[in-house]
Amino acid sequence: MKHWKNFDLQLVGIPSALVMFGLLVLYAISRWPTSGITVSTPIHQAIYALLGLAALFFLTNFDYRLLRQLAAPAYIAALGLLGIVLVLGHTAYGSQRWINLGLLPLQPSEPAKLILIVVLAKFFADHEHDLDNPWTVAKSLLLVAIPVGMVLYQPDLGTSAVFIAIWIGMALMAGVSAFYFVLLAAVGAVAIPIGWILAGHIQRFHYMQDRFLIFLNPQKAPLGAGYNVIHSLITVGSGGLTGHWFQVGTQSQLGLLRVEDADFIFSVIAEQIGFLGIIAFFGVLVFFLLRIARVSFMAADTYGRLLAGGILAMVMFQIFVNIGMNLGLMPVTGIPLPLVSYGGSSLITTLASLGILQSILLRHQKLVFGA
Amino acid sequence: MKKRTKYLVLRTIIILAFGILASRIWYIQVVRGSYYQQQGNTSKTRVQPVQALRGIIYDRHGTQLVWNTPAWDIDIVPHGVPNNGAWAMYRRLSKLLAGKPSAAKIAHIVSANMWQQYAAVTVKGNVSEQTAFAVKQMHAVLPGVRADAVSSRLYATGDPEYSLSHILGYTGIITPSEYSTDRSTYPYDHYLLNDRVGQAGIEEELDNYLHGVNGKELVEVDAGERPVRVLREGHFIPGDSVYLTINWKLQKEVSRDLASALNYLHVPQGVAIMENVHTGEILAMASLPSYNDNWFSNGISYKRYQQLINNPGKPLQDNAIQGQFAPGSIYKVVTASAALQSGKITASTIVDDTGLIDLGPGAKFYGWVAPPGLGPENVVGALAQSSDIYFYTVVGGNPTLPVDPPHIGSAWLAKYARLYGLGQPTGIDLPNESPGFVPTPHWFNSLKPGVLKHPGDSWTIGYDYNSAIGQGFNLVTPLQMVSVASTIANGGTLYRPRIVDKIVGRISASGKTYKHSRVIQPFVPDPIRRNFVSAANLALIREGMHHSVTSDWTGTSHLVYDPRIDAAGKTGTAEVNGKSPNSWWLGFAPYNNPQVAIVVLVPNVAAEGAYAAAPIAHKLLEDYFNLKPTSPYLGPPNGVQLYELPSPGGSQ
Repeated sequence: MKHWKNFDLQLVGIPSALVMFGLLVLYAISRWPTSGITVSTPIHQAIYALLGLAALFFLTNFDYRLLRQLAAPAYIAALGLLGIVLVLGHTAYGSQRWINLGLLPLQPSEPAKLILIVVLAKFFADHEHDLDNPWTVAKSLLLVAIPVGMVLYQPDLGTSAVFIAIWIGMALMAGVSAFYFVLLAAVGAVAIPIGWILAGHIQRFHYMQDRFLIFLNPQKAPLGAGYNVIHSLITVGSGGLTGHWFQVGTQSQLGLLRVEDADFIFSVIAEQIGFLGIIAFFGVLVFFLLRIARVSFMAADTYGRLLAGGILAMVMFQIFVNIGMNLGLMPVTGIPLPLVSYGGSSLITTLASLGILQSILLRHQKLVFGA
Repeated sequence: MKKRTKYLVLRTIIILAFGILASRIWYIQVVRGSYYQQQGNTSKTRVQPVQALRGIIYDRHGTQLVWNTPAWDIDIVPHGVPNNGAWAMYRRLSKLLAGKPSAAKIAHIVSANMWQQYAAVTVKGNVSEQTAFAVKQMHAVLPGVRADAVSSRLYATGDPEYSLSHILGYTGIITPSEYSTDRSTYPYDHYLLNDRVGQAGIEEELDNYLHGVNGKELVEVDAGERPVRVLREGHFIPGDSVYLTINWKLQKEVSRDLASALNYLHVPQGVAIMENVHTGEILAMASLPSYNDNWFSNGISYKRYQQLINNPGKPLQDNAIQGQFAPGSIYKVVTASAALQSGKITASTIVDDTGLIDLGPGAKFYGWVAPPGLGPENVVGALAQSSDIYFYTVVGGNPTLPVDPPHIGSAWLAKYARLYGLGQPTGIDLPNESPGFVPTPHWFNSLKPGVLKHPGDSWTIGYDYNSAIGQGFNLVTPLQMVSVASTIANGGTLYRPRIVDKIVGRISASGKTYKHSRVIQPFVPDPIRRNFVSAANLALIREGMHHSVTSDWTGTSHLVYDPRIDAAGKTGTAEVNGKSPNSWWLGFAPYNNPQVAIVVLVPNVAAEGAYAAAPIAHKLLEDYFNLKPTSPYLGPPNGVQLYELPSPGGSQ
């Protein structure tokens, strides 16, 4: 039973506007001779956006409740893809994250985020009345722990943090007792220092330690790992109150900032549109997140509510961590700014998740009289 | 918790999260905005030198002898090299540059220049355009590395003999020692770490004029210290242009003819110099073998450099000004001057050349014509026939005669040698000129025993005899001897030989700069001294030199005889211990109205001056006067035996 009058135009219009804005920024960057980015970047991104919109409308039409049946095979497929990455993945910036599919290099950790939401939504909905049982909580944790472990091994600290954030968001939404969060926090307080020491002995994990130490003191290696932190702050700060609005000779045009089309695109935006522009940009993002939150409170069933909650957790966490990293509030991790950063896997995943939200909205009224 | 409350809490969390971000960005952009803007500015703007275009060198008629051509240098700015991954970058760069220099060498260059880490230092000069573009293409993985378009030198060679190379010299990328010498000499940024400077010849000698004054521009750089935008243009002042006194056409002919003569004689080395007798201007100056200065300006390979070093002809040495040779009989014009000036010897003084002065066992002094010798000679005949006995006698006397004839002694001879400019550099505008040597009895007697002197030895009459005929300890450069010839020819004025006609440009000798180009330094004849030999005595010497050429087969210079030229001159065959003698010819032309002085030297050739150097001089004078060559070959005419050394001490 779907009702197109419940289709949330704003929940398509706002993200479309964000994608358009991202494309414009990418195009501007591609015009700078120093950026090392060619015009093929915004063109590719536009193609990804069209594919993402197709996924969005496909999933809008697709009954989200059927996803419940697909959860188990999707989970296995996701783990399989993450496994393939580890074996023959493409290395970039010191870790293996891509599978090269030619035109569309697939980053399986992106769809894995959405699949994890689908899986956890099913799990928590199935155990709706059983959430005080520590085994239930433990099993839900295990569902997250496997992909977290695989992603950590890439090593990709950012994506594993997103997985954990999704679990926390959905567990809260499902109503897992506060006791377990306190308990997990305590376990974390013990496990993190131990993990830190263990990581020190494994070459593969040194980068994470570096990132964290640099986050604490970027000046420690101004041309090494601290470089991006320092230059993102200089770039953001150079924007001032009003920004430069794509004039010639701005900080971001010097090519001092690395990955300025993806991880650090926010710094470019901040310099170009300035503080006043950023406040407006934040307004748009807040409105966008509130629209997602609204879905979770309109869903007809627990499953839909949890799906929407998970998507909210995913999108919001990524936005917050990415911007926080650009502003020196968070360690540098490869988390993109959803809908804006260059990257096909992330863009298509995010737009697809918005399709699921629409699907939930179309089907939130159990009975419509006169229909 | 009620659903509505939960929703409210969630919305509050979202808004609060952005509140945190917004306050942070307020802090960065508004509160600390100017700080970060300034950080951004200092991290991206650099004051960068603009290398001045080097001055051009012309011949006396304005024919261009050197061009500035575009070249590519690979420079590195130490500040742009990241701490992490520097070694990977060095290896990558070294591989790109075909292993030269090695990664370790690049690392050394970077660390050695860390003390001024914003200054570009050259890692490799004169790379191909392909290499330069490859470096530019790979800028993302070569932080701190720049491919800089620079200006290199292309020299005129004219002929395979490259005789101009010793004069022009070459430029090269500044060496660390040149840089530090410059730093301690000039208080300002005169040279840059990646500069090209003159390293030989005129390029070295007049580098202060030719180099130009570098400009300074303000540029924005990217993370790899590569300029992306010029914020304020910098203007350099181009180097001054230098006009040489050399006649390029004559120089080419001189070196070509000298080379073919050396080829005929089967010897590697030879020198020829032509000078304007009235001004001291060097018109042509060739020292063969030479080298191609373009090899150096393009960065000479180790192999080729080794070939130059190991070549027995020593092509890197400019024998015209740096070679020191025993003069032999050409020195007799100096001896004659000293003798006549003393008043003890006059035009009518006669010495009977008996072919030998026998001072006892182990001290038999022969003339070049064995007893009975040349017979009675006055100064004119002694010069024309190169009588050794005459000059032995006027310097050292002759104790075997019943009455020892009046003689001048070696100290008096040395005085005149020095008046002629021997034993000291002439002061030509070329680097590393040799002084030569004029021995005196005082010098020898106060010398500590060693290679030149046995213990207990002192100056004796034998040394007088050797000095008289330019043997023994005497050493001269060909350039010094051409000055002597000019002085005799022009009636007694010793000019400083000049190779620079004028300097035109905007930079003065003191480093001051002018707005418009002007003649910085005009050529004016630079007399060192005049009239130290009287006009009458010089006329006698000229007459003797003229007879040397004209007295048909009795003068030693008869192979220069040519009524079209009417030259005057003197041969010389200087013995060299353990080697074949040096063959000289010194002269001027025309006899009645001297224009040009000439010296030709063929070191270590198995032929006397009359038969090796003299015919070359004849050919070069034909070149000077634009005459058709009279003889299809150079060298001794058929039937004339190559020289066999008379023994001992005789000289022609």
